[in-house]
Amino acid sequence: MAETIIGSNISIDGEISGSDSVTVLGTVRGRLSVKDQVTIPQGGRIEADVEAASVEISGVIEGNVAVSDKIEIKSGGLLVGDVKAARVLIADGATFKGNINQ
Amino acid sequence: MVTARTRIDASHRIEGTLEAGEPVSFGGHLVGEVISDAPFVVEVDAIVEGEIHATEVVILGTVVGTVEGIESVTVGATGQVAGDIKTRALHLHAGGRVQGQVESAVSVARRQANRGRGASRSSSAARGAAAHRGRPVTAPKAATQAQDSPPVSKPKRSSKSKGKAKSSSKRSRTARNEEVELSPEVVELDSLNEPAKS
Repeated sequence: MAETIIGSNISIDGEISGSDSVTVLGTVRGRLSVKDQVTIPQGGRIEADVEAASVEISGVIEGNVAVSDKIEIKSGGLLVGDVKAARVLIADGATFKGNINQ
Repeated sequence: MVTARTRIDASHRIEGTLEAGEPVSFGGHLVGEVISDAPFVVEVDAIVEGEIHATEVVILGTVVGTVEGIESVTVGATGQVAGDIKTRALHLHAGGRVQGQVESAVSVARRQANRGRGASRSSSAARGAAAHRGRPVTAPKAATQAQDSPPVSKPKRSSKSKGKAKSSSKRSRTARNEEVELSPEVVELDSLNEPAKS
């Protein structure tokens, strides 16, 4: 399956848009809008508003997140921003600061 | 071939700046700038509208903008560049297209060419080619003339030229400038296309 992987030594300032899934191990600033899943493994950092089908956070997101399906903040993950999602999962050990709008 | 962990898929579009400290294989559409201290590959069907600065650039897709590859720039058979290229070594494969100026490190190309041939005679031949004077000169007297004439930074002329009017010497200086500006491409193409020729 086609997928975009943004490595740990990569920094993108601007807007990313598209249809397939994105994994962010590096840093993205600006705006991220895709029609599939966005994954932020440990070490990954997004300083941007995120729109996606689903979002899985083990790293950091500072920005608002809007997903059509599910957002999952895993243990060690951090989200600072408002969430709009059908399903929200916040694991033990995860950090979340913001509002949830379902 | 460069193997990259970071891969931007064909369905993705980036507007902005991509800074990389590792190899990147780019398959999407980028409008903006790439700054990398590692190799950068523009895949087949990928489009980059903007500048690319990387150690090594491989273009199999389309680039509209300046490409700077410190080590090398490779334009593959499917590659297209509409913009200037600055690099130490340009590899242009059959079918690849470049529309723009190519600026290469002439001194490096010359040194490499000379190393392959050795001897001062060959260096004078290379300079003769650089000055775009047709056939390389073999006679030692003509060779020293060829060595003296191309540099623009030292436009001093012999006592003969002092007798002439200033305007004419200016004219001849600008004419020489134009010649020298042409030389980088000539040297680069010579060193790329005819490496075995002695």
